[in-house]
Amino acid sequence: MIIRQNAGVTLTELMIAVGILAFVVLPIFGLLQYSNRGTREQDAEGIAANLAKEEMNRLMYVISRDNLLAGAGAAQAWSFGADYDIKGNKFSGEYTVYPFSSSELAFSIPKFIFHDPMTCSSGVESNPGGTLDTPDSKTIAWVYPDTAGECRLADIRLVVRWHVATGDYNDVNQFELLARRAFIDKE
Amino acid sequence: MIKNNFSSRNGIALPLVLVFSICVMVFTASLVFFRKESKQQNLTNIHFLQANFLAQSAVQMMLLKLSAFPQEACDAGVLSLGYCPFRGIIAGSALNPIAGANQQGLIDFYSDCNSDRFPWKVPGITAANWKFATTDFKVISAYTNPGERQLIISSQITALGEANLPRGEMGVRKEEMIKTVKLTREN
Repeated sequence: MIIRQNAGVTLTELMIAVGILAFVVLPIFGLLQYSNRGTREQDAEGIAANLAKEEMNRLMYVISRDNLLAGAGAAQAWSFGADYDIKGNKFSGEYTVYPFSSSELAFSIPKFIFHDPMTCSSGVESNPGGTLDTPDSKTIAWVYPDTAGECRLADIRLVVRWHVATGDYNDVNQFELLARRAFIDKE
Repeated sequence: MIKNNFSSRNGIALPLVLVFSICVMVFTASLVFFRKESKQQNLTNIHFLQANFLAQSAVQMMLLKLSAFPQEACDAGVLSLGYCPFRGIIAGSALNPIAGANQQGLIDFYSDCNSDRFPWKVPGITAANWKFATTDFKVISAYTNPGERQLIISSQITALGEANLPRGEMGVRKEEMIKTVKLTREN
């Protein structure tokens, strides 16, 4: 008598339980798949950021002026090569260099009004407020007339793209970095 | 006894399933939350990278200018300490700053090392989203080396990069960079 009563309740219970499970677990499977893909994409994005940093550091501080300026104005492949593979993700990058000419680099420099330094006792400036005139403007070409044709400043644009193993390159999975490099030498 | 045993199991499946479902939902919610955290971290990292490279660009411009105009930089530094820039060498091993010294020479020197005065050569970018500037240039110490009849100035360049990337729509990211350089009249 008692067993029969309980058996009826358990069957109803089980059906409701299965219904709840199906209602909860099935959408969660979909969500897990979505989350899993998102995690892989973010992993790839993090790797892309690291590669971009490495490449830009190379372009800023390692590569020689001649190599950097070779093909200036046109996109050049980055040093990792096309479709660089990390964990099944593919990464590609290219950089473009835009040089400044020395004659367009006209800097403002402080202009000092000359006075007899012997009037400044122990080297202390006797007229601090009257020592400066309106700043001068001088170009880098004026400073280095013999090598005025040499580029001494250039803008660098680096674009990095990536995709996960199941995807393809697109406009979303990419970003660019900009930087300006000076070539500090006296040749 | 038997009746009691059956009664205690009465309705156990439903609570079990509910507890299980709640656990699964909490687990899934935490996955989604951590995924969002990770995405945010990637975006922050990319924004930091760009702002940092922009600040480096400002430092590069200053280094180029210091390399091209060492005499003017050094003289402005001497004047900023309160000493006469026309003295070839100032007696005493330490040049202690004098109150009321004229800082305008240093301001004139650094104030054009920015992306407004020398705009990007990179085509197709919104200049307001990629800004950099040298925000300060100051002398932190100076001394004369009588043996070599040379004035040596340690100075600090402060540069600011401001990146406002469309990726993630995180707004403007600013990064400050400080670089210490040694100045002599014959850099």
